[in-house]
Amino acid sequence: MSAMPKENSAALSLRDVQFRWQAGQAACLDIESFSISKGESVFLYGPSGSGKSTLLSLAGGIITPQRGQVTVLGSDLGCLSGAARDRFRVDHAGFIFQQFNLIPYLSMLENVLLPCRLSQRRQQRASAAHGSPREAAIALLNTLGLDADLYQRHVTGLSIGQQQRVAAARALIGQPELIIADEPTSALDADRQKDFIALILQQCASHGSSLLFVSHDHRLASQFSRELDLQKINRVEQH
Amino acid sequence: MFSQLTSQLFSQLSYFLRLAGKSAWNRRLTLGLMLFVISLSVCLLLAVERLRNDARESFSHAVSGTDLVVGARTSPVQLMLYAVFRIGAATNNIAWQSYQDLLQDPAVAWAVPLSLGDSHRGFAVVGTTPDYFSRFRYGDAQGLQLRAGQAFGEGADHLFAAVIGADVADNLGYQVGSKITLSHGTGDAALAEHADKPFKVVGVLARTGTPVDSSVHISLQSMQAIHLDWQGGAPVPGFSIAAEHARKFDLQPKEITAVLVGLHKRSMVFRLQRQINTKDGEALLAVLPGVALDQLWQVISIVERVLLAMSSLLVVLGSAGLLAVMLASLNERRRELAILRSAGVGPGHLFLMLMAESLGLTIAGAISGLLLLDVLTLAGKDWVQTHYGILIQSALINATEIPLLGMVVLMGMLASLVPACLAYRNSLADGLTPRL
Repeated sequence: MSAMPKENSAALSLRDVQFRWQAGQAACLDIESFSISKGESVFLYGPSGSGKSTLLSLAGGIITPQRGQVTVLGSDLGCLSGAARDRFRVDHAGFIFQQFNLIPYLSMLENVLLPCRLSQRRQQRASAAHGSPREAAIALLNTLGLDADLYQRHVTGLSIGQQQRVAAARALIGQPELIIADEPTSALDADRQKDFIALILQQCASHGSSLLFVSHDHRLASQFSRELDLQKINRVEQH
Repeated sequence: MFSQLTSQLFSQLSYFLRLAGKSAWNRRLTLGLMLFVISLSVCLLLAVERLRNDARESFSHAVSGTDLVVGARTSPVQLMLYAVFRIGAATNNIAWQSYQDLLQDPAVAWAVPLSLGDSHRGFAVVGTTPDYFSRFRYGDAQGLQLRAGQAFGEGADHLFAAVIGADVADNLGYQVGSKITLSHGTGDAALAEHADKPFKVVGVLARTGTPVDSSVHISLQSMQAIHLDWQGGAPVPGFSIAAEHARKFDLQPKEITAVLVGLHKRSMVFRLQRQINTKDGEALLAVLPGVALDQLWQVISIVERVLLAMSSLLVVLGSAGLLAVMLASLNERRRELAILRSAGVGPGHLFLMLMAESLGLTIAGAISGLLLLDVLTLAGKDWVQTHYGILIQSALINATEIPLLGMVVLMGMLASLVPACLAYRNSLADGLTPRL
């Protein structure tokens, strides 16, 4: 029942997981076994509608499967209460979405600090590494190539590329064990896609975080330690 | 450990409220418009409610300190209408002797006769005795005050003197010394003029907010004098008595329209009322003004109910507007809510955030609506008093308005339950990617 992760276990593992969005509908995800080891970066490939986003929602504990077990860092998410899952998610996972990643009414710095505001664990880890969450945020933004004069700017004035890097900083701050990225590069042009992925991989490696990266664009797979076709592990027939 | 947990909860809660505040500020144009709509509907609701109460108040303040109103036998409501409100005409007059009998009754402290039926440019003319000015009470037993000039006295020297109410003076531009002619009959269609016997304004009464303001008061003798050469409601052809000669006639009235009666002891009122109502001889009716005013208010309370229904509809309208705006903004905010969700914000917290926003909006709307009304009241008070004769109480807030405002906030909360529940449900059903 403990939300504390156990040592020497997989970062994420799914076992006999079946999920349907609505009762009575056909299942959209049916996975016998899927896991990511600690520190591993996995590129999950699949066309639109193959259940990529659903898998990520399951991994984040936002939804729970009708059958099977989702384990993150040794904790069975199905055994946690809704509130405990919410806390577990922000404590141990960072998310990067496709686009519109940022909260429009917060400054760049406040957007990055959001997980630290909501999780004591992330706040403590950020402080331990850099002295304070603010210092940690500035360090991350610097590493990701965002200038200090942008920090107090409204995020709506940023370019897409800048926005995605702010989102990456928000996912990485406080060194969560699992980074979940949902097509974060699809709004970027080809050169920037490569740079962005390289940045994320580098940050994950230096923090020891595992990365689950999904995309429909197979060309991006080369930089990851493992690639996987979702259609091969999802037993639901896609039309 | 426990205190650390509570302080953490507290700091999280205050962070959520700050987030909700920033989010609201980000949508300030839409929410500002909504605030405007809510304040307006609250302002209208309270205005209707205040007018309703003040109208009733003004109404019940029309007469006070009078224990009985006596007139020819008719319905109590009709007697009140013509004797106090100067609306409509008496079906019958009562004999002067009946008034004398009343004066002789040991229970009666004072009795002021009223003689009605004439008018001046739409304003009722009241024939009465000088006692009227000292005995008549309105509101919380306030007496009549003269704004200018003086009251007329007893006797032939005071013939053709008029004391006018504040509305008569203000609307027609009269002052002490103005000459006026009275018309026979009431209303604008008054038939014939008493042009040969003009009156002089000797006094102007201070404003009372009662029908007294729109009355022209003359002595009973003057009333008698202008009708000397009349018969059956028309001047007798070929026969006229000049004003200066009128004094030589016996000006003792034969009949009057109604009597206002004050008693030595209020406890005698029911005995005297019964005595008058069951008296042999002339058919008289005595009514208790308070009771009759209540009956009269019952008659026109349909208007009151319509006003109440209207004000309730305003609240419903405001809430519906709030609901529409919240629902519309919910779609724009699905991304924002999904991001918060990914950062560990539970669906319950999203629910609270949305509720806090609309609660804040409704409370702000209720307060600003109240303030708006207070400002308007201060500015428009005199105008309403002059044009509608309704005295608006200018309290910042009345005790009766607190439950009304509570109802507004409750309606706002009920309306915002819908978007808050939807946000809760969506955040569970959408997962991390809003499915638009």
